[in-house]
Amino acid sequence: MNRVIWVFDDVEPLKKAYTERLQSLKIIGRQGYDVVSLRADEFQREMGLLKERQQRIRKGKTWPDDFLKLDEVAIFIIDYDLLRSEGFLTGETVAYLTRCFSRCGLILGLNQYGKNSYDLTLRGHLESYADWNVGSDQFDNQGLWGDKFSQEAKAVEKDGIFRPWHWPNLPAYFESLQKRIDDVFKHSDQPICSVLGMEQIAALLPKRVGQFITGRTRSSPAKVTFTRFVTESGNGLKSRYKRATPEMIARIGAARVSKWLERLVLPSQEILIDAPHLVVRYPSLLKGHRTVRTWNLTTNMKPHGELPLDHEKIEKFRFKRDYWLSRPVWFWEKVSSSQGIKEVREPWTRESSPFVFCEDGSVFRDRKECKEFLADVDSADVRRYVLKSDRQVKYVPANRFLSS
Amino acid sequence: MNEDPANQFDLIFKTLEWLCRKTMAMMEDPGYLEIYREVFGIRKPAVPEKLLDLYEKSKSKLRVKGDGCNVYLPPLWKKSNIVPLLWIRCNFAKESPELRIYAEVYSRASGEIRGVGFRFETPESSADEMAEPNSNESPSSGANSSRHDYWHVQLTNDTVHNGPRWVPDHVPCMPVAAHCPVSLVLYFLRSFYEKETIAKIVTYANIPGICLQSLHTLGLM
Repeated sequence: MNRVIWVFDDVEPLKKAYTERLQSLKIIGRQGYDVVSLRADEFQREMGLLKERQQRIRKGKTWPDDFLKLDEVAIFIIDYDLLRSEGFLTGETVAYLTRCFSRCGLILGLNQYGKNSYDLTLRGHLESYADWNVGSDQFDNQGLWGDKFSQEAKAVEKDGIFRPWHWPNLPAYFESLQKRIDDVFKHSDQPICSVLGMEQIAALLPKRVGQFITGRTRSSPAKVTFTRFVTESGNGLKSRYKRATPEMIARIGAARVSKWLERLVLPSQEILIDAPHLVVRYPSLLKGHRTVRTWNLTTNMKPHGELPLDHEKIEKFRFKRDYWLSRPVWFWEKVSSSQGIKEVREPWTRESSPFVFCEDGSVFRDRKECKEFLADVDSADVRRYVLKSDRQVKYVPANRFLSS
Repeated sequence: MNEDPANQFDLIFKTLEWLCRKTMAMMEDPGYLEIYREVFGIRKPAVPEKLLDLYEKSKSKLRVKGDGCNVYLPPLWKKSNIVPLLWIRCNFAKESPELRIYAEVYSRASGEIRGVGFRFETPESSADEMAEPNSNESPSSGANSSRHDYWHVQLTNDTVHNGPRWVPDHVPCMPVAAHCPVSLVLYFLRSFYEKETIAKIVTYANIPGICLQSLHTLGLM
């Protein structure tokens, strides 16, 4: 049976257009997804049931045996402005209710942060309960829906493409969701950092990074369990719920902690580091000819073993619970201390990388073709690059660009 | 190595930026705060944005008079009571790029914050133009500059708070292991930090390894 992608906007013509645009993407059908437009009356019914579930949980009860269709949905795409819906809902409220009180897979929030923008801060809107936030001009970008945007084609393409590096391969990210949920379910009363294998670096987390996990709890990031995160931090369930069900804890914990890893921990490239940023720092880890094509092979979302890297030197530093992130990553602190890496052992022989990595196109390019900007991440490595190949995309805040 | 002055200029600012951000991030930890906070009150710290502003304004001319743009170095270790900072003057538009790194090192001694200053410099020629901030003697005077026509470091008390009343600011003029402005910055940093830290800075700023050759030759890397 095909999996379902639901699309909802309270403006009918827009909803129809969004649905059709997504249906026209062959890659979605090939991966076994049906794109369905959610009717307004169905939407109201689903919201009503979600609120009922919320109230029951507040009273310490469990979910009723209702039939919530959202429970069967793989990916729910919801617009932010829902001015015509009953109850003054916003897409964010819907995302919160869906995340916390349903079994829906992934939530894609539309237009909360612009219809076609690129956020130069690289900070990932953790306040939003949508798993990913994109604009309505971007959500049918093929690069978001599969790994079919050919790296080879990218390498030779003159004009480049817009495909932000922080985007996941959405279907693959959905496929791995159940593993994340199972992980939390089995380890709900263990510290998050221990479960993720990050206990040794928990103390090194910058305040802004650690405080998402601790939230309102009076604990250190190293000690917060999934249960406490979901029920007490304020970044899982918003109010204090003492009786969240184990399933809720697993689902909310999996979604929110994964977003934390993807959008707050990883972008700094200081705690975890992904392949393209790693080869910029240590070009010797790149295997094969050092053409831009080889560099670009590090930017696909394939499993770590398929990346052109010298795996022997870094395998023991790899983040082993790899289903928690949409791409292979390594522990930077350990990599940067490894004497097996030439640049660490003999820094005086270091060759600087000939290309820079473009965060908005997921490609390496000559620096002269790119624009430098300052990301607002918790790292000393804040100077990053964009290609700006698509002139329709609005890069914000514009004052983060360095003058050329 | 890319000897392009603009590239050298860029790499130096990236290095300073790294130092500045690292220090500010470490200041989140209350364990580091006290003595740094005291010195911050005396020598106002540059925040990364100020440093970037200076970079943006100067990169077309490749010339910087960074007085007042005090870049604090990260604590040497957690309980260290030494507070190092630097500011720079440079002119990379000249045929032989000039760089002066003014290093000030503070600590608490006899109940008050006291400092000592050093100046790490590119070779001086008789045509050097950069005047010292408060010096009575001009280093550009022929006899002196001919003595300083190599990469060197010397004492200074030009802008140091509560430093010695007098220091011999032209001798000794100690040779340093540098061969380009970036390598002078790395040499300066190596005099404070272990080689592993220098390797990390080189990585972050994407500095070619050849800038470390002088340090490596002396067994310092």
